[in-house]
Amino acid sequence: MQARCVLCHVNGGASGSTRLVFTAGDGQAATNYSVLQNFVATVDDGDALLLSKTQGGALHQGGAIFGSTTTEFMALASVLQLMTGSSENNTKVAIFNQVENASPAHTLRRAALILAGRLPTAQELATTQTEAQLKVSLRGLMAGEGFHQFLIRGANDRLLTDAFNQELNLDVLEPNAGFYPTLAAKFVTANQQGEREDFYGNYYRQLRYGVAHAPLELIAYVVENDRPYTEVLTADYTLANSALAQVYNADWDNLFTADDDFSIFKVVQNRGQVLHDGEFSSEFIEGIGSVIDSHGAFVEYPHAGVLNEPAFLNRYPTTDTNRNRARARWTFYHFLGVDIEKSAARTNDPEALADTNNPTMNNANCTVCHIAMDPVAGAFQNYGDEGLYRNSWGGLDALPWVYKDGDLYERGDTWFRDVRAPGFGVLAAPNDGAYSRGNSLQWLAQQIVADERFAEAAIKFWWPAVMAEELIEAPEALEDANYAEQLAAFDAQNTFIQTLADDFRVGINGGAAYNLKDMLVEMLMSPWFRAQQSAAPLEQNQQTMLAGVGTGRLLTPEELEAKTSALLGYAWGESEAPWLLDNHYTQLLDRYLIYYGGMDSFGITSRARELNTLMSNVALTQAVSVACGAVVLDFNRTPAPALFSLVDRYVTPVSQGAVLAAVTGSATAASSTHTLNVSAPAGEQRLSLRFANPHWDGDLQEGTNLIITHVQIRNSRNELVFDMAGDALSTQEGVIFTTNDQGNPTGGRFYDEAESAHVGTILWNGGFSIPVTFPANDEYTVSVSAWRRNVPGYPVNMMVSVDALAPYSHSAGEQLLRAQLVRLHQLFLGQALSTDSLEIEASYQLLVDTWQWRQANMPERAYDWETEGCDIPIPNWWQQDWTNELADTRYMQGTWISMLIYFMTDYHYLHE
Amino acid sequence: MAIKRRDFLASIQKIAATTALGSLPTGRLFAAPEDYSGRLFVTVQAEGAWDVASFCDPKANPAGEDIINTWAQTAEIQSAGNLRYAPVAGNAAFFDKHYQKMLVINGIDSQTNSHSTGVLHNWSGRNSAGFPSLTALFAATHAPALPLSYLNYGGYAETARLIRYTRLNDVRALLSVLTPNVLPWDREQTFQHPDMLAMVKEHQQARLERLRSNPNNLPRTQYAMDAYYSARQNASGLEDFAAVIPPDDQLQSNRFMQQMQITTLAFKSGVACSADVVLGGFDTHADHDRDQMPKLAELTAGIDYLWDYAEEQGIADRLTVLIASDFARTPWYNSSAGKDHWSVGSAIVMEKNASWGNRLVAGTDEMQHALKVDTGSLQANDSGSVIYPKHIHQAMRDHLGISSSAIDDAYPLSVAERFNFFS
Repeated sequence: MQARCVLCHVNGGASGSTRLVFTAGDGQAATNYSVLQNFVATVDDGDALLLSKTQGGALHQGGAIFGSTTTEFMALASVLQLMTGSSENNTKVAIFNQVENASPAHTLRRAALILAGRLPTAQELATTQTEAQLKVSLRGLMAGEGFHQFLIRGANDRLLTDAFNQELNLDVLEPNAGFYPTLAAKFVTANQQGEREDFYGNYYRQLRYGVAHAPLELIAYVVENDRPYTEVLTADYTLANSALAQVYNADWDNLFTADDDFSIFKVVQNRGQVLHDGEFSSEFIEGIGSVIDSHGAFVEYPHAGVLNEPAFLNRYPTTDTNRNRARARWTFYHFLGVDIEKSAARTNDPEALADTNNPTMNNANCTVCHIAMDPVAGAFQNYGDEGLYRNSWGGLDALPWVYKDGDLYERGDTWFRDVRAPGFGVLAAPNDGAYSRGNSLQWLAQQIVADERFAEAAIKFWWPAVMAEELIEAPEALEDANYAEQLAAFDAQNTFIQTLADDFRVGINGGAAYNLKDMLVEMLMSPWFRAQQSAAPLEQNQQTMLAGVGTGRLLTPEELEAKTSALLGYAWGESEAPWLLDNHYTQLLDRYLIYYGGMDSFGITSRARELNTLMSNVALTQAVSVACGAVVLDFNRTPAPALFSLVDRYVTPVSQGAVLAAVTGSATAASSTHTLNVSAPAGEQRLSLRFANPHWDGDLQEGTNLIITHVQIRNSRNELVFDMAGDALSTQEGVIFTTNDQGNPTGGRFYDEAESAHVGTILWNGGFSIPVTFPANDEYTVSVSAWRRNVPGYPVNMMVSVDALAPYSHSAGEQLLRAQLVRLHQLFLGQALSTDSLEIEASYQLLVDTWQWRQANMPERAYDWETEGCDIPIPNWWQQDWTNELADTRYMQGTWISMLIYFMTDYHYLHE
Repeated sequence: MAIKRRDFLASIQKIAATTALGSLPTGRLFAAPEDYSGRLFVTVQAEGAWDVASFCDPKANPAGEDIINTWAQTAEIQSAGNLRYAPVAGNAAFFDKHYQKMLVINGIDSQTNSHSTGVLHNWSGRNSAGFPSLTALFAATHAPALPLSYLNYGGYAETARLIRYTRLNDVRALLSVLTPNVLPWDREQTFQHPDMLAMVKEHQQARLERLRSNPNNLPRTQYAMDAYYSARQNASGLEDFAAVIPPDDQLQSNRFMQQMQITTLAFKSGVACSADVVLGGFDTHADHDRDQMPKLAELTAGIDYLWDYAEEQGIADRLTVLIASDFARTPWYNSSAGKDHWSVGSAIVMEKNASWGNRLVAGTDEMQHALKVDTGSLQANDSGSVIYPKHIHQAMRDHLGISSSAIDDAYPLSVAERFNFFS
């Protein structure tokens, strides 16, 4: 412990101005023990404060030193106990005590949606029964476009370089700046040819995308190719799309084809920048641009992974006085896991910060940050305000002219003399051998990846992408009511990270060192991702510790859209969009992104993780917008529905059986007979006959009719149990016809002029039902004879069904519907339920309620065109004939639309 | 058995950390009446650290020293009532028009030069993490059940899980979200018949009630379920907001002003009671005069518009505005003609017809160092106290009726001395 504390808590150290100052060097144990004793004796609750700070709490500027489960921590606790005589028992509750993880199958589903943007396949689920199998399956998710997008998204959530595709200016590759001759020449040519608009709207737009995404693609490349994660900083290459590769003077002909779009990235090196040195000459022509007449050799850009990606440098630009400190701050944050700003001074002395004597070097309130930050800032010495390499006139450095004009500057300097020299920690950046001033960032990258904090930082970097939660922050104020619980939670998480980082460095489970996929698997296997519920209600303190842990993460807009696409086959409002670079528009990502908690990497740089009223309305808007189209398309999908695979649109809560028949005869004498085989219970049922697809022909000014001429029912022994002529059907006692808007029946007794007799029951639309008593539980054959008239050639379909008198009668339809509901709960909500479970009962009740509403209001289509709307994701679908597809003679398409809204606004649909 | 006060407070804070307040007795305790007619609160966050020496704490250039302000070489400090302002940007018009609404507090020591700590300190009242924003406290105290109770356009928005904030950006898209069942291409018609959708919502809410009543839910799940439940429960009333969204040609094109406009309309329609509006660009380390002055002008123009529009919409009498920043900028220029960070800054509180309007707390000396101020007379006094953000927050909590709530007790500012800003 002494060795660790003495690193900062010594005179001249970062914590040399605190109340705890040790003496460095051998043989100081007794002295330092006295210092510790004195601290404990003189500071209120000094022992507790020391233990808190050791775990990273109470604003410890050095962060967490030892977790509470380490031997070092326990030794310190024992020593302090001896000093104070305290005998307080440590009765902390383990954070995951009594907490149960989600099953392997459930975990796989969540991971598949989040990491791969899809649902797991049946085969993946079948082979994911055990924990060991789960690991293999999780690793298997880490391939393909979905995983690529996860990596791009996760990296951008941290680096925010996509801001350049929003509204942030890309100054580092400005066409007129004259640092990239190929770019300058393209711009000049475009202007000369009057194609300036096309240059910005097309080429430069793609170039900007290339620059913005290069650091993200670099990270994705390293991960997807199982390269050591250290390469995100040490790569001596970059990734570029076609437009950027041209500007970098890459070997375009051998890397790209003309068909490669802006999203195809290849490994290249930047050999496109020149210096503004003595060989550089250009002329700016108004309206044309910078015409470069001559320039020197292209810079051998000293790639240092993400660190000198132009987008990273430009996203955190510097100024004459900032001197790369923002870049250093974010380097610490992203790649060392240290938030330097949190260690900033909070002084009660107003004069302490009003210091003009080079305070970053001399004032303890300032040096606390700058002692670590400024050397790293110095390692960025070659990069100017926007991120260009040695962009000052002469091309020897990137120092601002106001500094070079002053007294301190000496020719050949590449860094300021009045701040700390480039370096890392106590190490100074070398200027000989492999590393020189020109590539000090490459040296810095090597130092960072060699630092043990790099592995921890990698886990911290990816934590929000996997867990959808920021890391637990160490509590700062000892007086906070929940300080102890927050510290315990922080300690537990930090311990997990440190332990995983230890494995990550050397290779997880015998794998390769620094393999990020292996690390992601371990994160997904952990209770931090999988904790699902408790075995018993938890005490409040444990609940406080567990806030933000496990299942129940709100899906991001991107994840929710991927889920919807995986289930429905398309995203909400998906359409071509020539005005967008990817020619692809969706409502959730292009219109409602921010409203649904997304970010634009520029103005909004963090995600909203909690549903508010407006976000819940976005989810509802999505559901009501897509439900109709999704239901209609699925029921009419060939060869078979994907969602509604257990029912057809004629299965209702009361149906014992139903069949759809194409009626082709065109006269009474030519009636065709259609049969329905149905298993029916003894007792009264209703025989229902309906015109499934009534059609009005505007040209002919007539509508199709269906005429039923005869009905017979036979039992399994072929005995006739019901026999009725068509004309008697409409007068049968108990007959019920559907009615039109005026309340008139939509059919009636039919008089055939040719037969000169009443020969049937006609339906103009809708249908009717009659009571039929079945003598026994048996298999029956229902035979219905019918013909059609008007609008020759247009199909006429008849629905024949036998229905129970009321829902909840255990009809065959009810059983099928319950099974279908089980399937939808599984697909949409990831819930494995039985047909008689409480939730299926509740879903079935909603289904019955909505079906009965539609039955009572009798809309003929899946949506009632007078009061409802439908958006089918087919261009100009409303100009086509969708009569058959939209026909809803049994009211079940409309009912399923409501059910889909129910599922798509369910808690478990929006959270995983 | 009596519960100890400390334990009670601890329980409030712990519950807030894991559970949506809407589901708790405390939530109902502070639930807003159906038609909220109480005070409305806006914070205006000038991001990046504004230069109060060119605004509400104007400084002349000291003889024989480096200049503090370029403008002071040729112009004098101006006054509006008791207030003083720098004669630059849009200050004159702003101060002359609004000084009677304004309490200007200069000399607030944010105790840091770090942006993130300054933001944390100025908007939560404490320089340690964990406290909610004043706006969140206000909304959670007075009207947690409003559909969009707490609006946020960026800046500091810690809620401590007392409440959830709502972000608004694309106003046209907003219209569809406010009325989700209305067809975008025919606003007279709906996707689902309203009766059908009502049935779905009713069943949905019943299911959510079942899900959230599981005693073995883990806190994250419980909180997410509670949040969703209350979000859905509170959705009614959004149609009123939709009804007042103006057509495109009447929307403010300036983003800052649009924040003001939409906030005012949300207040007017009764769906929100607090908002954080933000304006960035004040971190002028280089070319300070070139970049800071337009920002100050944009800031005052936006606040002026807020008051005018609030008046037009009939809610100006209910409005309280707090304007502040991370901290301030140095009383000198650096080598790049910029100004760096300076920990002593200002805050402005505005209300119409305020008895404390036209009041200046002059808490800095001529070099913008913080002075000790007497808590009663508000005059500089060596036996007084330096003003810290916690003093501003305590006074605002008292003034806004937050202090008397149990929520307030859970986030104590531990203020020994209370400044008499509002009497």
